[in-house]
Amino acid sequence: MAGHKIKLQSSDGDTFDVEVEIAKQSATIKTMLEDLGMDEEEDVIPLPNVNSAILKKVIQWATHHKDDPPPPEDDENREKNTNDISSWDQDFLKVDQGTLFELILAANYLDIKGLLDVTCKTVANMIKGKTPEEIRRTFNIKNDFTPQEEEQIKKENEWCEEK
Amino acid sequence: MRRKRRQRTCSTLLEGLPNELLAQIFSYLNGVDAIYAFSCLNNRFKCLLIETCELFDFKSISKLKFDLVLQHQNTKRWKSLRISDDEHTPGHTEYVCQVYSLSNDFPQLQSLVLLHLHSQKMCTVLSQLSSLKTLVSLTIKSLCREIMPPLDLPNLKKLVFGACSHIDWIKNFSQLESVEYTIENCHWFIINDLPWPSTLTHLRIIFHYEECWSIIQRSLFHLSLLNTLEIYQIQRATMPPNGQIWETLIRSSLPLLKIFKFYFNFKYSLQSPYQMDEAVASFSTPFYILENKWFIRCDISDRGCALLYSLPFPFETYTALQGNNIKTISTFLDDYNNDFYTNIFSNVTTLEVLYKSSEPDENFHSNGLINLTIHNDFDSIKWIHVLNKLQHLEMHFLTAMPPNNFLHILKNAPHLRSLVTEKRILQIATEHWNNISICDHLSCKIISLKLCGRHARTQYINKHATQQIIRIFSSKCQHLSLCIQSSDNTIGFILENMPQLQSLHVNIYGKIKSLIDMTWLQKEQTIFNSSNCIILSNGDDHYFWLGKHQSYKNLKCVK
Repeated sequence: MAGHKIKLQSSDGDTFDVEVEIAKQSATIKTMLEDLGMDEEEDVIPLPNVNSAILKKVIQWATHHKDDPPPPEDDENREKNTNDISSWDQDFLKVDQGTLFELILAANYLDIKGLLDVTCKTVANMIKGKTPEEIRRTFNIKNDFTPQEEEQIKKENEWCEEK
Repeated sequence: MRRKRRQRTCSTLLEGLPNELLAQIFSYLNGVDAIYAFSCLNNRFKCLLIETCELFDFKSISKLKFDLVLQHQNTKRWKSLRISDDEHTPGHTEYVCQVYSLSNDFPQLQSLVLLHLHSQKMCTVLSQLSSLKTLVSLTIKSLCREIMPPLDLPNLKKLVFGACSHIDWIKNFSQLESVEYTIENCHWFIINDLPWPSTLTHLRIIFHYEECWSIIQRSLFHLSLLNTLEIYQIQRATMPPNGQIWETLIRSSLPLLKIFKFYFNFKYSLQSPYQMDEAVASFSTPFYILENKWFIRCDISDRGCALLYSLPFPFETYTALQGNNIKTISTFLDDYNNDFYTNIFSNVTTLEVLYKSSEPDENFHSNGLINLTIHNDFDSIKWIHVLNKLQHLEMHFLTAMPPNNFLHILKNAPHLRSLVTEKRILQIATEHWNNISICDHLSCKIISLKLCGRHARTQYINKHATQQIIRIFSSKCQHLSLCIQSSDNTIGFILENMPQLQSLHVNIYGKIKSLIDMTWLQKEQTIFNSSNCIILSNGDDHYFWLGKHQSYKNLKCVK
């Protein structure tokens, strides 16, 4: 029924009223609604893996994309296009890295393919064209190689210096 | 009820993501890029890359990089591979076939792209293809009936190929669902029937001559499962297309067709302007507009040329019409959707400008435009706003590129890195290599330079010009192609003085033909030999695919 709402509860206890059709973009929530019969307005769906700030963003994204056609099947064998992020999504994802990665975790937990795709693409675009050192700095990646391993890696990856 | 909020003390990091999500992120990257970026950062990423990277595109890769990627990765889990024998990676396919067995080393390959194969090598490669039983998608250009062996690829669903019109062999792929076919090296008068498997749901044909129209239309009658049809005509036809013929065909034979994309380039008679009205009207019937919502646009120049295409503009290459008085007719009304019109050229990656009088369409934004081909005078002021993502610039035979225009492009195209032109055009554009500002821009930007032309004889570079080219381009250039007068010393001189070079193509002019092979290379006493270089020769053309000598830097220091 159009406009029918359910309540989603974040890990930190906040509840959000969301239209069923918007919430159903999450395959996880869709399954809960269908399998557990949780479709009454009083029912609260707990989402223990998503905090309030991220859930709010997820709902904002799902609301904007509620009329989108189903995403096309991926061609698993081809490098996927990362240049097709809509300008709305680009603006939506102008967030700090922590929020971006939490959105990825939330999209994965809630099983929202479109959001997972666009967030992973955004990170892939942040990676493209960067040198290993730039990647290390950008994402604060710890080095756990021993000095001997480091020396060996340096030799093996001499080509990394070409770019 | 107010709740006390927990303070978030630490932010999630990239390393905080589980492996399957990191793998998902890597799936958006070419395996080569992912390995380049992550393999030397820490143990977790190093192992993860070996386990997760499945898609490898070796476009423009150096031999050193290729060898190292293959050495450290488990090719047995690779699903997608792209190799090419183009000028940047000459001899690559033969090298792969010599060192690896497609069936043993790539047993899970589902997608294979083979580009620019030399015809002599085609048989060797094709003979290995039948062992790839898992192959779902195959891209291969320049096929010929004479060398096409019977292939048993039971899972092949998608075939992208370029070939002459003798494609009887395609009947044997009775399970194909998608075909993209570019008709190559074919004159209309020898075109044959196109016997598509009746299983096709997607068909894309790119062709040159209007005489192919009837053959193509006839080949579609039995494709009752077709869902998507794309028809692109490159050469300018002498008459406009007729939408009524397509409508009749689709109504009678293609009941499942949902997507119909097309691009027709043609002349019309200035004395018979009604021709254009008829053409547009034939694509404006209720069948197109109401039943299928297939909208078109027709751009008509006052010089007797026109383009008629489906919306949004479907093809990757847009050729700007001559003249600054372009009349546009569209069956898509502006008030349907404003966003639609501003994005109609978003598929275009290559822009061709044939005439100085050509002007950009008001809806033509930079979008994904990365290639520009100029055939004549070019007014950079008019076009610069669509060129900010430009990577590749080609200036053909008649191009006049004064230094101020060239500098304007170089200053405003921050991503430009590839240049194809004639020697004469570049000499004028750089004021005979003396314009410091232009030369500085070229030094900083260009990683691929090709100096070629319609008449090879006029392109030969003398010693002085070679020195100038090395001076300007040696700091960045990885791929160089040029014509030289003699192999004596020149090739060795280039190899020694362009430290970033990954590939070199030389066309050697002269009555005395040099044998360019490994023995010759060793006599030249460069740092290259059979362990770090592949040489491929074809007549006067010689291609070098270069690795890096381990002690290269030391050698340079000693010298």
